[in-house]
Amino acid sequence: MSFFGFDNKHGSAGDGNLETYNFEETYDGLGEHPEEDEDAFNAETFGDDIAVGKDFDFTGGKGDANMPKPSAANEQHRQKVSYAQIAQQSTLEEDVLQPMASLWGSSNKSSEQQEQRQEQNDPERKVLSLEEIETQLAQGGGSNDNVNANAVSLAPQAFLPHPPPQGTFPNFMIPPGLSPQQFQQFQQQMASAAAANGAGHFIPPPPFMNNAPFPYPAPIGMAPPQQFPPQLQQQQQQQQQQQQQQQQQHVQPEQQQPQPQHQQQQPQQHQQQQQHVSTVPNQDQQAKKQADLAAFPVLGSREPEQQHQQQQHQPQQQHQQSNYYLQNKQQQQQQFRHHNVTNNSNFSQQQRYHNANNHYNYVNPLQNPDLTPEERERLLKRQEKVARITKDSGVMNPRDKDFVTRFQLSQIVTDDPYNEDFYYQVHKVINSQGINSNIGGMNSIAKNYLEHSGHRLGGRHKRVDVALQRMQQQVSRAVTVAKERGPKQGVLTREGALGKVSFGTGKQPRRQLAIKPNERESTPDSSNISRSGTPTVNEADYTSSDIVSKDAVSSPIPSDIKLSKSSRKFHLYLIEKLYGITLTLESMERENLPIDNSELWATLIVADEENQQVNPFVAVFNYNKGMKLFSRLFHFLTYEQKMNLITVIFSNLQNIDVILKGSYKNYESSIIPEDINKKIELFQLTVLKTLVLFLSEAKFQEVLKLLIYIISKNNLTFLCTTKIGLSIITISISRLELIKQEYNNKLSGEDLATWSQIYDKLFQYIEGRLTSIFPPSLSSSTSNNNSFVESSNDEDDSYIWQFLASLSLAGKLNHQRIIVDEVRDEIFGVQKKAKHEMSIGNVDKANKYIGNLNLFLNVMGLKANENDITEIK
Amino acid sequence: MTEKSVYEPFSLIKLSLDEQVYIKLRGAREMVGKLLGYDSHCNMVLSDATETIFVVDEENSEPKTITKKSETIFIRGDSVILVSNAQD
Repeated sequence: MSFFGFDNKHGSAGDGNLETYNFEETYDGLGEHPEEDEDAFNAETFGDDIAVGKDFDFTGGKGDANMPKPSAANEQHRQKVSYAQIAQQSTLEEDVLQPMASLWGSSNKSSEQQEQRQEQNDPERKVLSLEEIETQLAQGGGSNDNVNANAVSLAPQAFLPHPPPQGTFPNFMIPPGLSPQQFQQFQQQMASAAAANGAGHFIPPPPFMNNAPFPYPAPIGMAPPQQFPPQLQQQQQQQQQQQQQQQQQHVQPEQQQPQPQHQQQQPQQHQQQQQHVSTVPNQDQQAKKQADLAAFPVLGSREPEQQHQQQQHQPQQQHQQSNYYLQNKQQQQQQFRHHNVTNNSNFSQQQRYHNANNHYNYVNPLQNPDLTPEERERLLKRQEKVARITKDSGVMNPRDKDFVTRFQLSQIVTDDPYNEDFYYQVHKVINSQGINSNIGGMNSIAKNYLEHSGHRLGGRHKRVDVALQRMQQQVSRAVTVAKERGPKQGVLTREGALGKVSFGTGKQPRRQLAIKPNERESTPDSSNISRSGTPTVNEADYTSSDIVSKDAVSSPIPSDIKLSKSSRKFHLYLIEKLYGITLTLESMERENLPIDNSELWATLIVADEENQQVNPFVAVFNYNKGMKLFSRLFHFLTYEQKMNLITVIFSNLQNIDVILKGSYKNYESSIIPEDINKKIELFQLTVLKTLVLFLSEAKFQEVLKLLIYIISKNNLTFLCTTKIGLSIITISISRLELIKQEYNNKLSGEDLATWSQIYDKLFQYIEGRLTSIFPPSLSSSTSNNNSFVESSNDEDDSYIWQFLASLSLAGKLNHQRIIVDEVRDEIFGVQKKAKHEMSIGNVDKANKYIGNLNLFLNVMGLKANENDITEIK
Repeated sequence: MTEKSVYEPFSLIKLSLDEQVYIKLRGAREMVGKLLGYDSHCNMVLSDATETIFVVDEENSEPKTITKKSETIFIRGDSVILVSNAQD
């Protein structure tokens, strides 16, 4: 029987014969191969008589929960553990209160719990439960009935079944067929033998001998120092392997627990061994001690927290503790306290070691008499939760996880984030103002991935750094892989193959048609500017998006498509091309590349010289997207280009959709349709805003020149009946007047003369038609008493009064007089309206009317309220 | 206006971005709305869309239409039969 063979060797373990069991050889790499069923050494190591079917997993499949908190000593081994394991571990470690509860099998949990509660008061029950446990411990031996009463009595609270732990004593276990009683006797023999030769290295502490064997680290600690690394590694491997073999998970705590001591605590171990030796004689007094055992529950009730702490680490050994405990009761309690406080000082490590092997007085949390029903409930819930979480843990090995991670990351990582991941980039810019600005791309990818993949960051033990570091490595590896793979073409042509294989990716779905760009287009003429790589609105859709645009600059559409320059399709093509160019430029701007707008300009000014009915560019404003585009592309132009463009626009004002259709005179009802109004609004928000910004910085002569264009190229009377037209004139006039008043000295007399000339001309056009600038819906003069209230509810007439204000501001006194004469009715109308609003309690509205009116009157030093007009003092 | 060669089909749809489009769908449905976006699967997103479903009641054999309006709607590409300008 292997047991005896082992034991003989172990008797001389002090001689360094542990090499025989060098796990470096037997378990090397096993952690990476989950098929351990076929591991020939399993039987030898763990016993081939451990019946899996006997529901031996007292942890309910969550043995991990018992994993002690990793101490500093085994920190270095963590590097071999995957981040996922760490994450898992840290998750589990959070439930400090619950691990012991999980030790109980889920199958007969409830009945056992009942038992446990009763056990507090009923020693007989304890015996019974221990019997059951012993049954399972010695399952192979069939010695259920032979349970030694002595052993039972030694462990009044020890109903915790546990299989022989193999972590440090792989073969040190109850051999099949050997009853616990026999085994105990054997152990006692051994112990006394060891005690007899005092100086012997391997001295199993007598208290441990009473029942089941369990790992005692001292022998390993006694082994020659050079053996430690292999031993530790072996444990590491075992640990991994056991994560996959859930039936054996409960062994882990014992393996990990002693580790620090192996490395750091040798002297103390010696001491402790001496202590153990000294206890040997006490074993004979066990019977006497039984009487004192009643003290145990007292400890449990007195220091429940300490017990919890112990339970986390060391669930298994209560059956052996009793007499030893009594001896060292005081010392032990002290140790418990220290153990609670700290775990990284030498002292506390010693304590832990001590506790781990001798002193844990295990009480199932559920059994704790101090627990209220709510607490019990909570513990149960936790237990269930952990069971749920760890149900499938260990299905994937670290390699699998790495593979999945890398695979997912390689889809995320891109060389060209602005094109492939545009919205995220923008989102990032918007959301990361000031935050994480120092975190590089890789780091943030890794961080985000971890956050979104369900890994716990910032758990109780803050393993974030490890996980993050791990993840960063993965990201950089994924980047390398993605780069090596090169650009995905979507078509695979193998040498010698007859056909092509086309395949799809997430970013580039498989295409039904592979269209070759024709030769001429793919080689731009010398006069052409290639637009390859231009991102378009939907760049991801097709790689050859530049088919549309890779053509002569003079025409935004393929030259072999003949489109009328006034056709709708041409305008749409033009807009799309402009969008494409603008997007390229914007992306260049983001990347701080030098911006070349020559193509944009060439496209914009297309067909400028041609005598078209409507300049194609102006037609862009017929479309909402065209208006939205304008403000985006405008700032890419140089000042001269902007001037030119505005000149074109101002010369064609009456051809712009919003002006053409924006006059009330177009409509019989004199009411502008809703959709046109929406367009006008949009135009104001986009194009007009951009123009105003530009004009507010333009020079006097330039504005003057533009005004001349407006007056000479358009039907001024018509223009004045539109909101946009009037606004543009207003802007120009007020800008001119502003410059004139501010920099009067710097302006040449010639310019001033021209301006007054132009003003006169403008005024001539408008004189006598000033009332026509009031759309009937806004007009207050023509309306009979009350109907206006309805008709002009929501409309804003401020633009009209602004126009009149700027007109009178620029004019002389006689101009102002004419203006006031013409719009007198309107002025009184507004007052009347305001009065009416005031009378019905609508103060805000009344104030608005008066405010708008005063825009105009204030210019002439007048001020109105709803009753009369006075001079401003 | 003649087209001499084939261009990317999607560039035609692209022209209709932000414009009113008419989309014919499987299951005797039509959709009219402003095209907000599309992708290479012909998935489309419309705003202010009006869906028209043509239903033939077996008993009456009288075709009926049901119209639904949606502020924004996603159309899965595999049901798209035809995309056209709504004004045409």
